Amino acid sequence: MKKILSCFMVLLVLPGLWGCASQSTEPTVHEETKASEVQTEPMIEETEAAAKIALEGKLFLKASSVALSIVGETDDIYLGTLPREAVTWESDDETVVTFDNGVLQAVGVGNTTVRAIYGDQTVECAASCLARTEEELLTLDKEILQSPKRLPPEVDMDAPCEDFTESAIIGDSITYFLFQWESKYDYLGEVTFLCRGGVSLNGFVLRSKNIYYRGKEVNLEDGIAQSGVKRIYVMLGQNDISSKARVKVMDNWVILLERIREKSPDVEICIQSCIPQLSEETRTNEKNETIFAYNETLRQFAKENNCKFLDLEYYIRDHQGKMPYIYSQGDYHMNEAGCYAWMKILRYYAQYEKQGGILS
Amino acid sequence: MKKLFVLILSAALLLSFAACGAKEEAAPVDLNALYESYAPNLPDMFQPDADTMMNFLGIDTADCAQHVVAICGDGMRADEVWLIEAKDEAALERLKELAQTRIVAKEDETISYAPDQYAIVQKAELITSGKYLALLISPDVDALKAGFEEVIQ
Repeated sequence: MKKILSCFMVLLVLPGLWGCASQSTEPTVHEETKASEVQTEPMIEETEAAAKIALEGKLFLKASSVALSIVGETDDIYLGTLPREAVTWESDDETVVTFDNGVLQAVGVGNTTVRAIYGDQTVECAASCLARTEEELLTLDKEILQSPKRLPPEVDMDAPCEDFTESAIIGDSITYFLFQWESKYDYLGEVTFLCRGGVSLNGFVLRSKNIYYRGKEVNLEDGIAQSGVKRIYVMLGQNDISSKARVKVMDNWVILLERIREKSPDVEICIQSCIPQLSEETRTNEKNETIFAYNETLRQFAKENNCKFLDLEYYIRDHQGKMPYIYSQGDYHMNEAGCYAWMKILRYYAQYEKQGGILS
Repeated sequence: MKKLFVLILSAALLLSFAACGAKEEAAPVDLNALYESYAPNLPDMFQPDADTMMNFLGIDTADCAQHVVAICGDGMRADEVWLIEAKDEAALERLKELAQTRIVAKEDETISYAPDQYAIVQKAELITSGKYLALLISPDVDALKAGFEEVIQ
């Protein structure tokens, strides 16, 4: 009996002893959870912070200055290369312009500065809004209405440039003007120009008006092949879209690209958008709408055909959708200031690509 | 006396040979100075570098003993000046052919695009003299041509 009672007592005590041991060495699930939370929260923060810092990339904005025309207008000025959610966006005056996720929105008339911040990188952009309404906008001075909406970011243009040594810039007379200014100032380094006044997609495809290279008239695809360049920047279509339906123009792009790639299979192709015109004629607005629509078609075409796309129209545009007056030489061509802006854009985007950016 | 006479005659002959030799070597033409003299007749021009001269015009600077090549830097004006001393006859022929091609190209560019400039290109002068070549495209082509011919002579 005593033995049975002793066994019973042991049986009663043992679980209790076991329980104490468990408590001291193995916390309960709740306590375990709390303990794990306490131990890992700082680790999570450190991990997130480490992940942010560990992101490789550089901040690029599309412009150094943006003038939004009227309240409500938006402009996505973020270029990359970091994910937007990793960047801090600031506006010095949100009653004028808000800046969120890389997008400017005009809230009220005035000027301010916005910035994108990541780690020790800060990039600023001057941002403004000109008018509350379209009607109010049109009451502003002509000089303001005809000024560029956006200025390209600053580039040290006096620094030697080697980004275009194996590139060719191709186009019609608009590109020829660029050739003149580039040859004078050498801002793009040892770049090759294949340009000629009056050329068109249609002319190249029909081979009725070709390019001159090293003193000989050659088909465009042959000129590119002979030059041995690794990348071409092409602006064409201005002499086509006024006279031909866009479908035909795009058909010619297909043919031209095929020929170029047949002769130079490894050449990188960067299509440049066309630029608007400047004229007092009301027809100009219709022409420019045609150019803008063409550029959107070109952008999509570039994407679908493994080409890069450089949006020059983004910068070469005033508040009425025309070529800014300070850039113009005649109705169609750009002067020294316009070509300087073009060269600055080319150099800026070359830097952007070197940091992993993609022209699209 | 006879010896003296022979000596004088010999000296005279030697001097005449020296003079002949000197006359055969023409003074080189300073093409840069010539181009500078054109300044009042020309708009704002730029002079392409060697690579551009080759790629855009086909001119190999190795063919040139000296050269000044200038293209109008002001929009679609046709003004262009080539002043070149070729290295040899073969180089001169190559340069001449390039100049002729250039005239044709500019005519084609301007005929419908800029008719006023086309009229100027039509009056272009392509002149060769010895190893010298001048391609002159300018509204003042007559004055430029006169300047070239003066220094070449």
